[in-house]
Amino acid sequence: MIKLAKSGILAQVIREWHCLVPQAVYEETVERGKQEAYPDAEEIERLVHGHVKPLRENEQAEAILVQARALGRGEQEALHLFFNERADVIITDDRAFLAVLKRAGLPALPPALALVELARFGGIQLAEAESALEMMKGLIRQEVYQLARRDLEELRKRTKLKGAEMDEGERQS
Amino acid sequence: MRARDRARAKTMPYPLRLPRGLLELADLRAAEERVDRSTALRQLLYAGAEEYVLELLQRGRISLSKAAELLDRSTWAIYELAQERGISLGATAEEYEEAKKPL
Repeated sequence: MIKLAKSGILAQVIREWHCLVPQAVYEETVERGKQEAYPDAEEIERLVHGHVKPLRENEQAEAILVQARALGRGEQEALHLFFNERADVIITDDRAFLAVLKRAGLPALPPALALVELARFGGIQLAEAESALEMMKGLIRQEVYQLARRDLEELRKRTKLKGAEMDEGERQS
Repeated sequence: MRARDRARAKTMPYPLRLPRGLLELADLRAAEERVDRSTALRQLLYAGAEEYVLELLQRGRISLSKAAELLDRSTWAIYELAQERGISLGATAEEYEEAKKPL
């Protein structure tokens, strides 16, 4: 959530994908962040208002978490929420959490890929995604930044090609 | 609960034999930082704990939320600590590509 907020696309992600935030993540990011005077914490509080869900335990999540002692409350609650809400994907950039999700065969979306996908489905403009990726640059691995940049460039080329094809179609008709 | 009581509630006594050199180092730090020996020892222990937690986090052995819990810091502070040390957190290229498969 911090990475999405710092790259300026948290609002769009929440709006376009109906994102929900586990209570524990809210507490550790917003409440603790405000206590420690991180200015972005207040902005996140505003953006996630109405999207925070308190913990409701889920058996499927419990079964996975028995083997996952490396996770904190935030990730644990995210897993409960995923099953309770029958969500499509969990947005996380956490390696330990990604490993747990992979072992369980559950879909995950790192924030860099989230912004690429958001651009692909028209949730944000390509230029906006490129600018967000630049803001995310210092918070993600360099190799992932390069991959996301490559994906956005490919998306831009395809968009141009599609635009050219449509122009051609219009000319012919 | 007062701040001092809250701080106490987060700690517990633990018997420990320490190398004499480490105790001498704690005394040096105590003099440098103008704190008592126990505080200096805790600071040294905490500095080592920070390093180790960040290493585990970078390797994906523990999560960000767990790291914050273990060090009793916010997730923001963990990011800051990582950045100060030039440690990259987050998905690797392999994990990024892996995440694309079901999309």
